[in-house]
Amino acid sequence: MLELALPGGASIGMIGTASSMPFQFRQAEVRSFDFSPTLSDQLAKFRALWGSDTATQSSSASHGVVLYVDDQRIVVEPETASQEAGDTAVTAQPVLLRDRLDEIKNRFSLSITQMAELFGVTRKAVYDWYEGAEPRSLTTSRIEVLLDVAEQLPNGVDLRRLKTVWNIPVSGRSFRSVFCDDSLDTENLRSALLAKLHELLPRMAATTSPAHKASVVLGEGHLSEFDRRADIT
Amino acid sequence: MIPAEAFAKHGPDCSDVEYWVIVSQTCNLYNISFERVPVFELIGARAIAQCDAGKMKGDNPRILHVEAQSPDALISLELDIQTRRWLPRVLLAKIPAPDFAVLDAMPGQDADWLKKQWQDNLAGWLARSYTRVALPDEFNTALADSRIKDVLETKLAKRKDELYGIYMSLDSDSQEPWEGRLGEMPPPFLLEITLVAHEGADPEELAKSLTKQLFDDKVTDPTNKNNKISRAELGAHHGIKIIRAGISAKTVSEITLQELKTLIRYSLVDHLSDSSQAADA
Repeated sequence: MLELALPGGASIGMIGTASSMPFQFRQAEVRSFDFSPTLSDQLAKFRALWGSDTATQSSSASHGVVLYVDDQRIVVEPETASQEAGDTAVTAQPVLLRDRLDEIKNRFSLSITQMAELFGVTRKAVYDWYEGAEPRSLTTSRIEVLLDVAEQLPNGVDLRRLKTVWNIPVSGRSFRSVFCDDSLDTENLRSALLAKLHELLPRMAATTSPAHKASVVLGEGHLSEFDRRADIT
Repeated sequence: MIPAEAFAKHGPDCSDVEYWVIVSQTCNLYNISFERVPVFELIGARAIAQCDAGKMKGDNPRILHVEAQSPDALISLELDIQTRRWLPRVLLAKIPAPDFAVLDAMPGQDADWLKKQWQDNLAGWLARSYTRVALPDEFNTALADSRIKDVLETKLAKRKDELYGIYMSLDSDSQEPWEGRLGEMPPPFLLEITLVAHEGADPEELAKSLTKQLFDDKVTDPTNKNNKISRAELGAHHGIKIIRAGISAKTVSEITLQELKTLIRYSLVDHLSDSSQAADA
């Protein structure tokens, strides 16, 4: 059996049989990690117990198990795993949505406005997420899929450049249109995004060298002074 | 730059200022047709002891300090955008050639050549007099009352050499999205600030500093003098919501044209007055 203990001493329950579970499981995702064989075995049984609904894919992330229980996001960390009388206890702690949003923001170098654009929501929605409002479940999935996909890209890919290409319709669809496609389930979304990113990688490579200020005469020209809407329509 | 007295014999009274700076484009000044281009534009100026750093870059919408140079001398000028004339172009043939001109320093001319782009600053300042963005009165008031404006204009001003510009994104903090003119958007507001730094400046440090000033440093709560709150909290009381994630900074090479086009440059807004200052009809 596996007990997931929450901070403060509360427990989200003992896993025995499905019928004895006191809570509804919405989504669980197992990431690869350096767990002891015993705990890995336990988690394998846990996955088997819950079947395909628990979205048990592995990825290269190393920060444990991410679970969603009763709309609460929980990470199971292996560091404090211990074995007592055949049971394995691990410490779980909630992962705040704002932390996941910050991770996306920092890895992809996005402003709130750009995050709103990426997720196809208003800026207010993003502000509300930061202040604790729960996004739609599809959005929650997209957050995790995006971070997972970022982990799977080759080293050296500059994710900050994704925003410069995410609207380009390569092979008929842009990255954003795939990302916001509600018809794709988690697995298909992940595959589609990875495929799209691999298509975009050549465009994401930096094409210019940094400006050398000393050799360039720079003015204080501002976009709105010479790039009026009337000029481009 | 032409002394006002040069026009004394030839044209309308231009003695209300000491100097006039010609701001028409060169192609207009030299145009062969006086029918097609009958006039040229001037802005009034007066000599000052030296330029004020706070008025040299064009952030003040009505006053600009520049240097004008002749082969032998330099003169510092204060230009007033409210003092403008359009005069017949034929007058240019009747007055002496100007000795002084507002020019850009050339690379390598001196160590501070980039700070002496006088002509470029003048052109940008003039252009911005037509492109300045009108923000909601309530936002301007709230920005001042929340002391966020102090940070933008005073604390950040100390780092102006590192900053290409301060940019904002403003949206409505209501369930119904605002689809009218920006200047008419009602409160409450969502504010995002993006600092764009010159190459060589550290954008992360700039963002960290601004975040500290808005969220960690405390100011006196005007409603309770015994209480200290952050400027962000004070902003929330006045209808401006800003969060830590809404502060970002990038270098000029990191930010994209697309992103800049969605932002409002802080110096481009007319935040020095609001519609309550309009004269009675």
